[in-house]
Amino acid sequence: MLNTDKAAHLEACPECDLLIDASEQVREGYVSQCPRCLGVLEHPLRLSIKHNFICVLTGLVFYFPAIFLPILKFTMLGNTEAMSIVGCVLALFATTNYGIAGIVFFTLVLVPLVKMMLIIFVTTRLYYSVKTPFLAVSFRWYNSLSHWGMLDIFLLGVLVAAIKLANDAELEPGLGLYAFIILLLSSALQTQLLNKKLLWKLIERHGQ
Amino acid sequence: MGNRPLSALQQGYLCCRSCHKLIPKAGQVMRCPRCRRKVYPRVPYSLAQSWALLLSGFFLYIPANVLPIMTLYKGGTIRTDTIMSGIINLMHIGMTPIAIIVFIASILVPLLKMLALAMILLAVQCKRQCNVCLRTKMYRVVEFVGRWSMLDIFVISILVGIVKFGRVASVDVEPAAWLFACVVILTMLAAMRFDSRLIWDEINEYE
Repeated sequence: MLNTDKAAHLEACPECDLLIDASEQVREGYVSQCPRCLGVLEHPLRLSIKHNFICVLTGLVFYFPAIFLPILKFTMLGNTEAMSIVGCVLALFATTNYGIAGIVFFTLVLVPLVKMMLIIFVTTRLYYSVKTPFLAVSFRWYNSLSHWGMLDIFLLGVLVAAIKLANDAELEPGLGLYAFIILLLSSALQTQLLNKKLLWKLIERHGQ
Repeated sequence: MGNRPLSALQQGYLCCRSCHKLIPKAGQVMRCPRCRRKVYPRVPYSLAQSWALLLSGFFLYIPANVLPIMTLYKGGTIRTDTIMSGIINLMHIGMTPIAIIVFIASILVPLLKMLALAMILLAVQCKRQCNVCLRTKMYRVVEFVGRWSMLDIFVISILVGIVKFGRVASVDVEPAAWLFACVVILTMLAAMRFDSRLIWDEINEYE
């Protein structure tokens, strides 16, 4: 065992469990990697809590138009049909495809919203350093939900579907598509540049 | 600390899997003081659960590719597509780049992902010690790329949502779509359940 003041700087690489002396290996403002498995330990490109909050707020503003407004408009033989994400889920439900409807609802509607709510709860409490219960639980849930958000894949799906339909009839992008792209960008930015290490440290100090 | 790389576990520390806090080991069952989650040296039964999820994913993968995933009614004609025939159809209408993307996302990625994960799991089980770095890289790719196989499911649901003109044109989902979604979810869970630190555990013992 090592003595205590050295132990304060110790860290384990989450990917390969190498014990690392953070005062030697991790330098502020540089990309630091685990010397053994080259997993990234610290990246200088991170958003501050405030900027992160702004990012999530942008996402939240554009979330409802992205979900409810039509993403594509499809005209065939004089009939026009508009498709929004919620409409998509409802159409799947109406055709008794409950499984697929559930997956689409979960990955495109539920997960993004819950993720934004949780991160807003955590960042505002930490920013004003209010002692609050459930901070650690919320952030843990946020982390495990982030695997299941699939906004980016849905956008590629819109592209593929549009190309499949392009021969048969006229297609038009709807307002929802633009809102969706903004939602996607803000959520990708926020998720990729979230300073998880800092948040965990603050939670340790303020949370319960 | 000596020059030899040694794992935290062997030096009496546990690393919390959800918040990465380093905790000195004390007692059998511990909770992380920061996130209140149970801390284990390694994820319990990680290997067995990963194998189970991976194998069930693999067995569903075969019917998911053979059976039709959707039916398109258009002006009296009925067209039933499997994943592969949908891709061939995309190539016929002159959209080869998109066909390649769909091919990569829905056929190549699930297959290669399952093979790579099986190789990693086998290597851990047989305690292989060469190419450890390569296996870690493979695991990272598997974890990153897994979600993208959902592409076909989203394409089908968009088509169902937008092509609803009653008798003139409509789209029906066939059971294989649900099977394919299960394959993607199962393999994602298999990759998540696997503890990447297991890859490196044998290295510590002999170095």
